Amino acid sequence: MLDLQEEQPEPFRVTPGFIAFVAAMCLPLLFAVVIYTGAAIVAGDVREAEAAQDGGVQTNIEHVDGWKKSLVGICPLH
Amino acid sequence: MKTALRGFFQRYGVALQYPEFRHLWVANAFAQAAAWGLIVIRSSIIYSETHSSSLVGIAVFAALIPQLIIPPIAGVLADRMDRRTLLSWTYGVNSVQNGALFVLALTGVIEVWMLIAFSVLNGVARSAQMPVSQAMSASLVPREHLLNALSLSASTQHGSRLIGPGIVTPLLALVGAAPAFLACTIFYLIGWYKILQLTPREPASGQRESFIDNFKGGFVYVYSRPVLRFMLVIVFLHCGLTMAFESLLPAFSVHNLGTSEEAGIGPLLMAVGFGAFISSVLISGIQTSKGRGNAMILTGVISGLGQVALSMTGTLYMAVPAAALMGGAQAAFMTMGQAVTQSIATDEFRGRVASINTFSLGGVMATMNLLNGSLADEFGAEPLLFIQGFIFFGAMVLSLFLLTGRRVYGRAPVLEPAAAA
Repeated sequence: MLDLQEEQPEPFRVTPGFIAFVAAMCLPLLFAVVIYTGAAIVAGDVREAEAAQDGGVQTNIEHVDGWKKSLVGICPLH
Repeated sequence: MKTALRGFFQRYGVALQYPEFRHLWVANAFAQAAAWGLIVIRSSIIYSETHSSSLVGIAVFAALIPQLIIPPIAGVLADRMDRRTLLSWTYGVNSVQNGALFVLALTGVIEVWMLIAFSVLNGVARSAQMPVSQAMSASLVPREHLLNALSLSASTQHGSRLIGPGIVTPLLALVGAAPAFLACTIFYLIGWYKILQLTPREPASGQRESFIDNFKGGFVYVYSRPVLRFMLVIVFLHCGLTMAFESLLPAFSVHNLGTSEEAGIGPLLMAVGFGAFISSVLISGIQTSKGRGNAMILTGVISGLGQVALSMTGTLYMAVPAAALMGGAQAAFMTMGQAVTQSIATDEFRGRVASINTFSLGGVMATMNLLNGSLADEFGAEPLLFIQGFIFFGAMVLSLFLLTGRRVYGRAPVLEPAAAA
């Protein structure tokens, strides 16, 4: 591979930089899991309300919490 | 002619001369073909039974979620156990579950909930396979051939998107689901057989810390080494800014290219895949460190500017070549990034380094896809593609001014080897 020698490791301390690095590596993953799981759980409610609205029935969509609609709206799988 | 062919294989297939890597490569090729075939069969059956895109989405989600959770666990296990044993378990699980699907389909009792449940199992096994295979590849070939090994693995990954569905789709259409599941089962069984031909090895790490300490140890190891730290950050930015565009394609196709969603997304994704396959083959032939450094700079810059170019196209005929260029550059940059991290990491930490790579990149791509999808409704796809591509181009230019970046690109003095710790 590249002519990169094995490096002398820098002395390790838990610094703000290390915390930021770990957070950057892990938080998007946690965020995605929460979004996908949350959307999976509430998708049924939102789709039911949308279907009722499309069918001309007195809509329940307004009674579905806004956060549920937003969650399903941003999750491409639901 | 024979001499030319021999020369071609010696250059582009040099890693295949090592029998252990050859077994692993063949196993991965069959496994990936089966995985893509399974995606087609599952989606097809669920949609034909229910006419529900939501349920297809739930099946996709069921297979995806393990890929966000399992890699950290698999990475620690890969450093604590014999990697051959771990891999053989994953192939065994996939072979058995595909065999079960074959029997269920043959007997006509298969139901949608079963497909979703098996999706989860398939997702767990697949997501453990990736970091373990990556860590294992690095120990099966000498360092100077690692880029070739990873490029060959990447080219089969892209090629299997055509081969797997290419075999399974006619079976599904002409004969039905059971033979299609049987084909996937046979692929996984072949892969399992090849994995069992690998030589068992002692675990890479002799230490017996707790799982949490092992996991934390992986982060400490990466953070303490400037090149590894640099590579993870630049590849993280690359994935987040230039590889999370799928959610933008529908809006882009309709509003910028003037096509329907279906007419736009298919050709664009195929172009990205085609470019990725070609570039994976091409970079496998890079042999000098200067060549590798130049290729990293070039592919990084094109990843960003290719996306900028895509954002500025107005017709499908212009967008397709831009997408192919972007796809090629992205795949090449990712493969070379993997080769750098795996060649620098010691065997004791390879599993954890590979898993940090896998879950951080998976997480940022999933999150950015979500964000892009929702922002596109407000701002449109074009400015998002343009801005993100340009930001990554800027990051690449900035990296040329960092000492660590110049070392990675082969433009700075080589350091003295580290004394054994």
